Amino acid sequence: MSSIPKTRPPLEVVENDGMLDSLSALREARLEPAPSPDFDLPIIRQWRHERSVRSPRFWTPFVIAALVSAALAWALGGAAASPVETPDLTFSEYGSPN
Amino acid sequence: MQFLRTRTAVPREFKSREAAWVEQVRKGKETAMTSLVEAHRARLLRTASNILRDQNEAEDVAQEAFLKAFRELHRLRDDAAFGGFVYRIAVRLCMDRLRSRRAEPAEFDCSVAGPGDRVVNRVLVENLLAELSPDMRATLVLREMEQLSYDEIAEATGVPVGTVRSRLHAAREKFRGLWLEAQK
Repeated sequence: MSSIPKTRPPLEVVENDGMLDSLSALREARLEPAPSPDFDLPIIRQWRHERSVRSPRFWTPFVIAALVSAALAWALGGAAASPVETPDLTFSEYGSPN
Repeated sequence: MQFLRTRTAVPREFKSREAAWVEQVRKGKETAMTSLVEAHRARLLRTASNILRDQNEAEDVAQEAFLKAFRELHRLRDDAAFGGFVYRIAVRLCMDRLRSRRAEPAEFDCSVAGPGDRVVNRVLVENLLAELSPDMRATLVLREMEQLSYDEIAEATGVPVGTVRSRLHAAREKFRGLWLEAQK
């Protein structure tokens, strides 16, 4: 009637080598921490800062200040100063050291 | 058995919402940025805590991972894949932290490692994990604690699946040896 054998094959004896126990100990030690209430704050702060640094609004005052100071320097005599004449000390003029 | 351990797929509605948030972050919307952080922070924090076994450091890593992901958003080809993108960054930051940690020999009191004591077990596991190399440790944690598939581990750690298999085998063997030693 039934094809199921009445006698079961002997169970294979598996030596407990500690693998299963060690892995279940590992899984039991799993942590499930909840984020702190102010978790997002440093991200938002840094993100805002980086965005503001990248925006032209951040750099415009610095660029204007640099242009103004350059213009002032030119107006106050930078352009009027005569260029310094340097002697021409080329190699050919004095000959070879040998 | 591998299919039993694979996590459930992310719903398509969430993916499209995530893609929309990423698009808005690109335009500078702060609310979209916080939505992305809220959606993924728990998972990132849990994984980082399990790899690093230090909650403060894990929070630092999770925050750093989000910032890095937002900075490198131009590298993200599929906006709906932000979750995997930031997760990968977090895992690699954890591995960098493990590598930069000073190698200290684990000290554990074997006599207190009685069965059923969860706190003692946790301390013991932390000490044993400290004995593994960063690669082995991260692979073992991602597989056994985070229940990731081999493919997911390969993607997160940036190595081929074959390397994941060999690392996992070596990590399990080493962990077993250390665990047996601690039980003596």
